[in-house]
Amino acid sequence: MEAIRRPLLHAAIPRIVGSVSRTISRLLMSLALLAISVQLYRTFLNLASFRTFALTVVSLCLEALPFLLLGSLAAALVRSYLPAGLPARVARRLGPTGIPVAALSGLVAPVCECAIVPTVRGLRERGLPLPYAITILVSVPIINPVVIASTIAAFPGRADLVAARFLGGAAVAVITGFVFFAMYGNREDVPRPRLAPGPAPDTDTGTSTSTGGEHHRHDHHHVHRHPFDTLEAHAAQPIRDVVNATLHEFLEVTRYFVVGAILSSLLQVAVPPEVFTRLSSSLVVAVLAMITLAFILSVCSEADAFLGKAFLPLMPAPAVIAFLVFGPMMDLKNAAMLRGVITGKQLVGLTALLTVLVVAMAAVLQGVWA
Amino acid sequence: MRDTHLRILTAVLAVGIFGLLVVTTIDGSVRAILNPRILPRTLIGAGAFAAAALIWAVDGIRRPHSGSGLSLAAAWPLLVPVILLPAAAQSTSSDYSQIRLFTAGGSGGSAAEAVYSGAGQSAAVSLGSGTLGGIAPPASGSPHAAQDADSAGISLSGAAMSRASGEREELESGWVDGANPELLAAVAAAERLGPDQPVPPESLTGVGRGSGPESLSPERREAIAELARTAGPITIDTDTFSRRVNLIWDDPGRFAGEEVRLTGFVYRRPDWPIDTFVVARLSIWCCAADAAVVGLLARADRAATAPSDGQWVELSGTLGVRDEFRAGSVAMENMPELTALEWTTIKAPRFEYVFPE
Repeated sequence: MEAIRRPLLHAAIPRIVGSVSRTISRLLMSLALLAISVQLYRTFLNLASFRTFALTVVSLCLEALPFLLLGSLAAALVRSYLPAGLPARVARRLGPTGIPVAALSGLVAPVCECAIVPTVRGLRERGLPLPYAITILVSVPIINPVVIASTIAAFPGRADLVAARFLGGAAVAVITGFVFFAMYGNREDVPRPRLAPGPAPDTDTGTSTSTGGEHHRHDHHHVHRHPFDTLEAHAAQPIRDVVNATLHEFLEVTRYFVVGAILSSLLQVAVPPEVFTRLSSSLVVAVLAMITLAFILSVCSEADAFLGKAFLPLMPAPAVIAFLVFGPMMDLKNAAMLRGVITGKQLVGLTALLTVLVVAMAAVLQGVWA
Repeated sequence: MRDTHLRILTAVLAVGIFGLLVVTTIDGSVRAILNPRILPRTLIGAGAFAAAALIWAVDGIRRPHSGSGLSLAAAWPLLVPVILLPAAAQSTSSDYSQIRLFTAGGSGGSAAEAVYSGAGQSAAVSLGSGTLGGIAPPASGSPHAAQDADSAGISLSGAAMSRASGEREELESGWVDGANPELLAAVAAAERLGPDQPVPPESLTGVGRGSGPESLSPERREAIAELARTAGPITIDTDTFSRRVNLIWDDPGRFAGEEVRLTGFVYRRPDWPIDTFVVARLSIWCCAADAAVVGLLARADRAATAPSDGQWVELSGTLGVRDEFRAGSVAMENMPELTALEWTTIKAPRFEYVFPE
């Protein structure tokens, strides 16, 4: 016994020494890295533009946090309890009349864009056809009670501006829905983004991606699709399963949101707002400038009316309304999150269509006001 | 196993975010990021997130084989606000106002509104009109000046130019505390522009008239009358800033001749006349991403004596009505303006931000 154990021990000693020295050197390297990053961070802290950038990112994140969580919960509930074929059946029965209905659905769901994106992700997963999903995505952030109330608060005595925002927004949303309906109808073979639709059910751990290739999995884990069972199958632990699904959805959506918030903040720091307000030489240029600004600023639709007010003395009113209609429908943080719902091609098409429609809306408003 | 690590990391970060929010709520610094009105929902959201993440983590420890299809790296979005929060907390109003625009106050009644008036619009810089770095009065008194594509431009008198240059020399020689790049840029722009050079038409928009104080609600008019009745100077502090400044904007004529005392930082854009600035605060409706610069316009007697940009001041002045203020990024009319200024420079107050009513 001794004779066998001794060589083993002898062989083990260098291994132990080696691993200890490796651990120590790793520790020292991490400490050095940490010290360097802390020093770098402190240097950055002296830059006003970095502090401004940080403030914008943090405020966007904190403001959106409750809504992202609420939207993720709604998505988890939709995925768990909504029968898979139901949205498609309802859509087939309603046909094109379903588009205006979808456009008004925000009146009963007082949430803005951060909450609606995850919810629609869940609805798409349960079979809601793309045109209805798009209509909900672009209409709910404008046509909802909270946004109507804050717009009235921002423009007291200016019922014309408030009406222009909501009627214009509704028109753009419905037309967008019809365009997508004409293209795709209620078809189900519409291209979808290649993303993990939800957490893998506990029962199929064997088929999940947790074996092999772990090392680089974070780079492309989203290409693996998991069949998602309804949670009725695990009714024993409904709370646990809903929590699991909610947090999974939350982490997925937050990733897109944070990328959008960082890009938006970088651009805000780099490009002063005056650049846009100087572009008022013609109505189309002014509208395009305000659309671009709305895209970059990524302000919540609950608060954008107060910024719109700041532009009213500088830009023609139709361009300000364009800012208030386009921003909630499409902005940087929204576009990043929408990538989780629709493909890149569909996203580009949607942005182009919205731009054309909002410019047309502004031209109509200009005609009505003049 | 990796999945369990992700759940634990998420729980740590979620509790961290909630903890940071609670700490900044207690010491008040969260007011630089969020309006107290939306703070409860953010706290509830962050608390719910922390609780859910803890349940998730405990579940992951108890059943380590449940796969979520996410790797450890999926938690990075939560790290971003945690890392940036210290920097955000150190941000000041004067830093932040550099990327924000000045908003006409009031409920919109007396604020001007831009009217697109076609490409025929032109504006010229007139020389020697005698107004020191000020704005020429509109060529026509008509309230519909904009529709006539009226011209009104920046007038910089020779005296203003020379004083502006003097100011720059003083600044460059360190006479005024802290360099004032905005002011230098303004002087440079004024010199570059020179006399009688047309301002590019795209830099100005027409000004139409708002609906005026008569469109205000009776309660609003009563509130204005009550503020105007105040004996002695009207004092505006952090808590009353938004309300009182808006009341003054609503009906500036009513407050003409009143003395006002207020605290704010000096806000000025590079394209503004150098004697004009705003005693400003940042106003947050929801979060700092929607902050707007609000305040009262002030005009110093001599450009050279105006306080430097970003400086916090306790200022008193006499209210008057300025017919029009146009300079690059602003176009306003019938607006309140403070003159006969006296100020002392102060340190930034504990609560820099203000919140709309």
